[in-house]
Amino acid sequence: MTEQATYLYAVTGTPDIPGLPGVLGISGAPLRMVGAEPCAIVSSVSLAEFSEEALRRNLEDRQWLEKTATAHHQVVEAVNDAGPTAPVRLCTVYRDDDRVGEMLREQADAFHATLSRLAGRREWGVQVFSPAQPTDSPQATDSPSPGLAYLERLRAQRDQRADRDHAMARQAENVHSSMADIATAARRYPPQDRRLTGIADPMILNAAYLVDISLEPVLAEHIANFRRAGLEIRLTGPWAPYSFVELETP
Amino acid sequence: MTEAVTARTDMRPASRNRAAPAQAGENSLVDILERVLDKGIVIAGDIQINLLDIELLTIKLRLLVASVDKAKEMGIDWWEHDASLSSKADGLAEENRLLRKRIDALENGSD
Repeated sequence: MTEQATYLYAVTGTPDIPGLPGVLGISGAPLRMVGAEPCAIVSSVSLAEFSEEALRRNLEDRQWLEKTATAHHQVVEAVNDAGPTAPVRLCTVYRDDDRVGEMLREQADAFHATLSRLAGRREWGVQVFSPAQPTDSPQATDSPSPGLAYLERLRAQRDQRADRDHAMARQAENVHSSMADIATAARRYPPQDRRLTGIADPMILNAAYLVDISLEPVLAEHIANFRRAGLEIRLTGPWAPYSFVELETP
Repeated sequence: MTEAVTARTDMRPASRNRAAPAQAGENSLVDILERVLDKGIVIAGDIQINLLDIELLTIKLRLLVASVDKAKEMGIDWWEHDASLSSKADGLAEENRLLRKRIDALENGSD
């Protein structure tokens, strides 16, 4: 029989999670709870798959990572649906349930503080893309020589591009500040590469906002206004508050 | 838009999980990976892989690109050839090996 370890998905304020029985963990394992308030959601994983050495190998395996990340995320979502939840980083593994219980007791105050900050709020992702720009056809100039005319055209194109880049950066700042205004907390992340998004237009803002549920209609209105103004915006969520769960170190 | 958000708000997570990939395709996976790898509470488990943040980010960078089928169709495999990336990754791996050794030493010493 392979040796088992305890995989930790999330920590939540209450063990009352109606959706949980319908969800399975990594490799289809049933979920368990450790502790009461706060309460950890865990499942057993095989050490053959989750030892430090195996993890280093498996994290390099795209299919394994996708499968594991998806299972992790689904558990987090189900728990989060029942109430404020702190998602734990992928692949946090303990020797057994007792070790998770120990950790919960040690960190109980930090978890309570974090979880109470999350109550009634949800995370939204906002990505803004720079719209495709038509390449301006160079204007004819009255330059005396073709060479000089060519250089002038190049300079004009470069200036136009710089102007557009500035304008887009301002737009991204506008979106961010209007979102941050209504959000309890905001985090900006590096824009995702075009090869990741599959969208030809470059991403100019990649951010997450923790928003009061009562303010979500305002968020939607802001997004709608920016879209009407011609901005390409991708709104994702609501997410479990992945971006807003730093535990204060004691 | 208001309706869209309200509708999502009322959805149960099960249906949300099913709906998201259909709407966003590959992006949804990228967004999920970005969150589960980069974000969430970092607690030291008994298996210390989660301390290797920087190494994970490097892995993530390569895997995320690899996970987009479109990129592969386009023959994008720069992460395999980018000398700065792979040498940087080697450096980080070495740094992480040293850090792991120190962690082991500290843990064995304190236990």
